[in-house]
Amino acid sequence: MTESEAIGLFKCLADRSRIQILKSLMDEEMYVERLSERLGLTPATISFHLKKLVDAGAVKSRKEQYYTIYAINNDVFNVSILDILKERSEEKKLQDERDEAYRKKVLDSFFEYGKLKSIPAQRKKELIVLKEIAKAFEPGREYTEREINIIIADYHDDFCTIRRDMISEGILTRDKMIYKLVTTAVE
Amino acid sequence: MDEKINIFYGWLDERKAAVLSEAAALSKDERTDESNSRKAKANIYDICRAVCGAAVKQAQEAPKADALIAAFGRVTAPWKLSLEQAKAHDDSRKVMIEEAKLSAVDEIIAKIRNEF
Repeated sequence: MTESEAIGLFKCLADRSRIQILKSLMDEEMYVERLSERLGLTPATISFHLKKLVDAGAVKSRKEQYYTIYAINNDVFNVSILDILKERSEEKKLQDERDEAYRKKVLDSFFEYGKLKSIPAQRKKELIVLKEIAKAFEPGREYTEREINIIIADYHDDFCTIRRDMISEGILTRDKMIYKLVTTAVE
Repeated sequence: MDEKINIFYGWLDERKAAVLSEAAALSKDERTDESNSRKAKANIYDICRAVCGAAVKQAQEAPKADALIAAFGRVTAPWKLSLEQAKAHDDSRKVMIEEAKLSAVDEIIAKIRNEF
């Protein structure tokens, strides 16, 4: 279920008459006139609510002789709300695309032929650059300070500043002069 | 006649207030769509008052039921057509609203027949 479908469903369910219709349909499948008698609403009102419920996917219908029979759509109600919330939202996807475009723009500005031209002054941009350099480190491997310096020096001469900034940004950890990549920081 | 028409206007006001109260209760009970259809119905009493007011002013003598119903009918006739079109196009929202409006029309016409 997409985010838009979920919003449509929740909006549709936020009505007592529609909940009453669903409760009746939980008991048995019904047609408009039967629901109208049962709930004390006009057939036009019942038809209106059923149309909304069908559009939202909460109810399904089928023709049977002269009547249209309505039934609960169990598939929709078997989806847990947690599953709906776990779906990646369309807005999140758009935001990710915008972030990726920005990241690429920063990298294009500060890198030339694989070398870092200068260390960005702006923290947000520096973080993007540091994460890019961190791709040169193997996850889980332990590095000495010298090994770290040599790898960073391939990108920029000021390896000391970059190494220290990587630690302060949580991209590298240092314990007794042994450095390790924090994989969650570069994902 | 003045007294009759004033009593009729009073009845229209009472009915409008009752339907609006029904709309408020439905809204409070989380039945927004039905509440909106009642609000549309409530407007009909005002429309009737305006139409009948004009008919009374134009009349040389005390207006008869048929004259009032004819004046009101000229305004409400398109609504019946609108309901038929909504049914033909399976526009359930419009059907619900037009039926609510026409229920007020029927009620008003019955009242006019009784009172005038």
